[in-house]
Amino acid sequence: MGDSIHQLKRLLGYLRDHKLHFIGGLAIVLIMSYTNGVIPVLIREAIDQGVTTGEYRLAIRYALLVLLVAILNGAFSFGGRYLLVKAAQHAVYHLRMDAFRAIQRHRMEFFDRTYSGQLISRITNDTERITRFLSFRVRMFVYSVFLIIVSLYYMARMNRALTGVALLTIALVVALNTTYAKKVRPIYDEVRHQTGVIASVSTGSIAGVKTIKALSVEEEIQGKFQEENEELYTLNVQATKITALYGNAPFLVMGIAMSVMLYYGGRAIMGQNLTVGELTAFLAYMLTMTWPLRALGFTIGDIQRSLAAASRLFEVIDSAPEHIDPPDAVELTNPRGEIEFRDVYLTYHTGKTVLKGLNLKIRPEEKVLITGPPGSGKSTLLKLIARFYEPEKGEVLIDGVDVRKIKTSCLRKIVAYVPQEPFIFNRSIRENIALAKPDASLEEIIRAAKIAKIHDFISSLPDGYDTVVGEKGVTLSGGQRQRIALARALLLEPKIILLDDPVSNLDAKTEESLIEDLRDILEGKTAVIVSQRLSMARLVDRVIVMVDGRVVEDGKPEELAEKGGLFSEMLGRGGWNGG
Amino acid sequence: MAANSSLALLKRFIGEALSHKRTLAIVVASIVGSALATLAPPYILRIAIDRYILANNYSGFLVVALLYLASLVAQWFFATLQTFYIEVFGQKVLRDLRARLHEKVLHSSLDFFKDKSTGDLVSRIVNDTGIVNDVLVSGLLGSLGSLLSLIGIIIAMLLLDVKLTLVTLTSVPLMVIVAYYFGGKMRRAYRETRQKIARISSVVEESVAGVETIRAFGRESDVEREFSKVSRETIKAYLRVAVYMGLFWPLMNITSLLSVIVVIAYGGYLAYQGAVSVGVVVAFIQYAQRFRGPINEVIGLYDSLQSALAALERIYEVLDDENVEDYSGREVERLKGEIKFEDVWFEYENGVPVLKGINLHIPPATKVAVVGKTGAGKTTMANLIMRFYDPTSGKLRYDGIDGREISRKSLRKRIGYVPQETYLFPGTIMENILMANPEASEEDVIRVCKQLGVHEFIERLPQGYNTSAGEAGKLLSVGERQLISLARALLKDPDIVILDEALSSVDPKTERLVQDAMLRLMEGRTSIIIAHRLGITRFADKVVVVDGGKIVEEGSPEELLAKKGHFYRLYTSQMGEV
Repeated sequence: MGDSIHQLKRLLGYLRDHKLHFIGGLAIVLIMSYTNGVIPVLIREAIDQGVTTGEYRLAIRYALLVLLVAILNGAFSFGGRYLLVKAAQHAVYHLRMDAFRAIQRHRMEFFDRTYSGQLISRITNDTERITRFLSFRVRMFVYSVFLIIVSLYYMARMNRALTGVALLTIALVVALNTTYAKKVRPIYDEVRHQTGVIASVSTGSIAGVKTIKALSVEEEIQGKFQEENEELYTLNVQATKITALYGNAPFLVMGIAMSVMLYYGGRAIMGQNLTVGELTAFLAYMLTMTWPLRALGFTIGDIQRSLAAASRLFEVIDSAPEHIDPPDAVELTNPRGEIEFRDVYLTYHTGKTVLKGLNLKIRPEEKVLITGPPGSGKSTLLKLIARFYEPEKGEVLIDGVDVRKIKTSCLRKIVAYVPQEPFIFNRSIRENIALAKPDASLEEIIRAAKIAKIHDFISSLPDGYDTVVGEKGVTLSGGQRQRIALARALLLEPKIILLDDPVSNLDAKTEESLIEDLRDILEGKTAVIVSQRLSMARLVDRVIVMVDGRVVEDGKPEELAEKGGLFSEMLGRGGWNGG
Repeated sequence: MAANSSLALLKRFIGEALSHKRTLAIVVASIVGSALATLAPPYILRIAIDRYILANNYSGFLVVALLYLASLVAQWFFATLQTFYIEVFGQKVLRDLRARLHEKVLHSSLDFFKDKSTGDLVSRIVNDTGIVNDVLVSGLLGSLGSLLSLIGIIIAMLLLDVKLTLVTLTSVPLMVIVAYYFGGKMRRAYRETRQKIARISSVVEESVAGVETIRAFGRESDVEREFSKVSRETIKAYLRVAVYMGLFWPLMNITSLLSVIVVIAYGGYLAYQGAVSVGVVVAFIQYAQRFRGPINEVIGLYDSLQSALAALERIYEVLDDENVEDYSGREVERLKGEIKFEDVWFEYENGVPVLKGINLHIPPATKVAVVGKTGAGKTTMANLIMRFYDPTSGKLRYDGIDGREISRKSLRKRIGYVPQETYLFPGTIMENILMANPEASEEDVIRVCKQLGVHEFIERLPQGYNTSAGEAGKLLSVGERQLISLARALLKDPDIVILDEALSSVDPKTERLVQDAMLRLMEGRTSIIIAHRLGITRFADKVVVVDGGKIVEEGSPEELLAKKGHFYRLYTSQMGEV
């Protein structure tokens, strides 16, 4: 409970400079509940003073009054809604930005353990839920509560007994609606989840259709789909059952209440204790309150869920490190490009220790191939240099300075990291290459593309450098992606270049030409290349073989080839191509 | 023209949806009951006021009050029935539609998938069917009920008083205009917010998927700026919705009240003249408030009809596609494994032959390696053996029988196909292997995996055989995934094996494992290896070199190497690297 209040306070804190909008909106909603609550009273007057007495002029006067109040009510409703939506949207905007910035500050481990779908859901679904809570739910809560108060006040002035009936009805209906909200939400969550299952099974059937046909298991796959499909159907029917029973039950309660009102009210009229207008007003109140009562029930049923959504977002925000750089971070000017690992240990979030006391020194402008079986820690080594991960023990130094002490912006200029599967953004090639240097001139971009040997290909495209690539554009082959990523890295003119398995996923011919070109590309830079293909050995001054997070062999490629260790054994087997 | 075709579409859909007759009968009964029940309460109220309350008639008043109660209970009862059965009926239609689409996709030939993306097809199975149900089933039936009660209300009003009815109805056109104009704007604005939210989610997706690249190049602030921009656009879209909603609901409310006011004013005048009773006026006030719900619903349906018809069209496009595989033909129990290509020509696209007169005889239990450059037609040959496609001209014979005469299903059951890229289906690794042979047990899977030497590495996965494919997919290399394919193939105990050897680099340990597994699978079976790395050819009895859709060389590996022809050149260019 205390925790919920704390979450709510923190959430309201995001209103910031829109606090006045929020409070103003609520005030208007308050007035609106009054104007709405007074309409049945005016109808009563119209009937009692106008219709029944035959004073139809009075009837018309009251009728016009009703219209006036309705227009006022509409204006209030518009204003209240607008102000609250505005306040809520801005609050959620700040919250969303905070969450997004936090995601960006998170260390890479965070992305290893979190599914991207989860993060997307935080930033879209959870924030949507909070917006709905702050604008719609809060509004309906205030509106409903005050409408009930106003209605009960006017009802009590007309007839106590009937007011008692109304009060009982209200309590019952709110309770029913709260139960309804609490029961139906989880089932709808399940429906959504099951819909996701259906989508993933369908994706499997379509993407894997060749496999299904090859195995000749169409019937079995269809059977599996039918099962999940049936499950979705059952869940939907279950949800409908709840909606039909609990969602409609308030109407039954209302119906009974209105019948009771008619009977006792009718008798009271005959006994001269009540007027026709008053009875009509009572019935009108019940009708007016039908939807607000539902909204009230849903608000109560939803508070927990909305605050849970908020706390999930707060968790993303709070778990992120506050700053990326320590306060005493330094700039490195004129880097030489020396890299050193001093007794480095690293354990992944999965509990797997990948580096166990690694010591390694790479001289400026040296070209090094790091090879070894999968899981030996090769790629991790690169990620430590790029400071995607930080060692749990030991240090990684560039030119003798701990990378943790180098300003991130500076480190990014010195070190260019080309991942195994370069990410191509759904934008033009030009923007993709100029990623690190958005103000780069086209000449600079073309120069980088020429060194990366991708210029000719780009020029052959109808829109040249403005061709949109990626998911919704032209699809690039693995080799083309690698080259774009290289051009991207080259544009920065980095001192250190890190290549994570640049030739995996390339066929033999493309591999061959890329290796040839890399010779020029890496000129004058420190280069650390991680690869399982020994063909890269031709390119480097030094080969390091890693096994289980340790360096087991280190030396010139020719030396290692003759030494009779793991490297020569791998070579002796005809390398990777001989088999 | 367009209206005609959408009408035909709708007719066809309704015709098909009528299959669940029993549920539909209940739906129709509940709609009619509900419409009738809505009419009764104001009518009874009028009688109660005029004949009992104002007439000071105590006797029998309880009966009228109970009648009122009964009518309200009936209203609730039919509404509940209607809510439940419309949805059940809709969900039944929806379920059938999804199943039909899924089955159709499974039975389509590979030609069908040529110009369709997976995402698009999944969206047809999941989203389009949903829209169709919301609008054309639930929406249509709900609107039918609405229309019915509207008509009923008008008839009931006419029975009470004609003049008052006509006056009350004057606000209806106003209501229709508000519902159509502002309601439409509101719904469109709302749709826009959905698109903005989708934009936000794609920005987040990109920033998470590309996080390494973004960080490596220090693009954090740009991504943040973009995110801020789409978030601000979302605010604008939502404010637009707030404006239209803010106009729509009060205006609906005011027009609805307008009819109440008209009833009070004119009804009051008539009552003063003695032309109508007070009870009639009260009843009219109640009726007048019952217009807006149905009107709003019908117009909302009209509004979304267009998108629903488009969704329906997309669904039928898939269901009506003619690229379906024919599963009829001779059933084969076991094959000796002899394969013969007889002057086989094949084109994927008209006029562009990929295979040009292939003649090849593969005797039972021989191992043949097919080599050649990318695009030479190697994979096409495998596709033809699998009968994913049939030759454009020429014949493929299995044990002397023309492939076209054998049922695709029974043929494929006898062939173990190991593609380059292993597709892992949602589910566990165990389920993924087990699917190859529905009759096999989990013990069989483990036995096969042990036989192939795959068992140990599967056991090393976080949950062994129960590791989910999604998780395993991230942890497994291409080679390790191919081992799962090999296990699938062996579990089938096929007579013919087709191996599309993986192109991507495999570490030496896995490579040896894959190779050993391949050899074990090929043992005693007719085997066709599509070789990208030529090292594997040394295990073949015969090498076939394909170039430009033709066989240019054929013979044992030793022969061909000695001949110093095509194969020799391919081999030395690949082997001479290190």
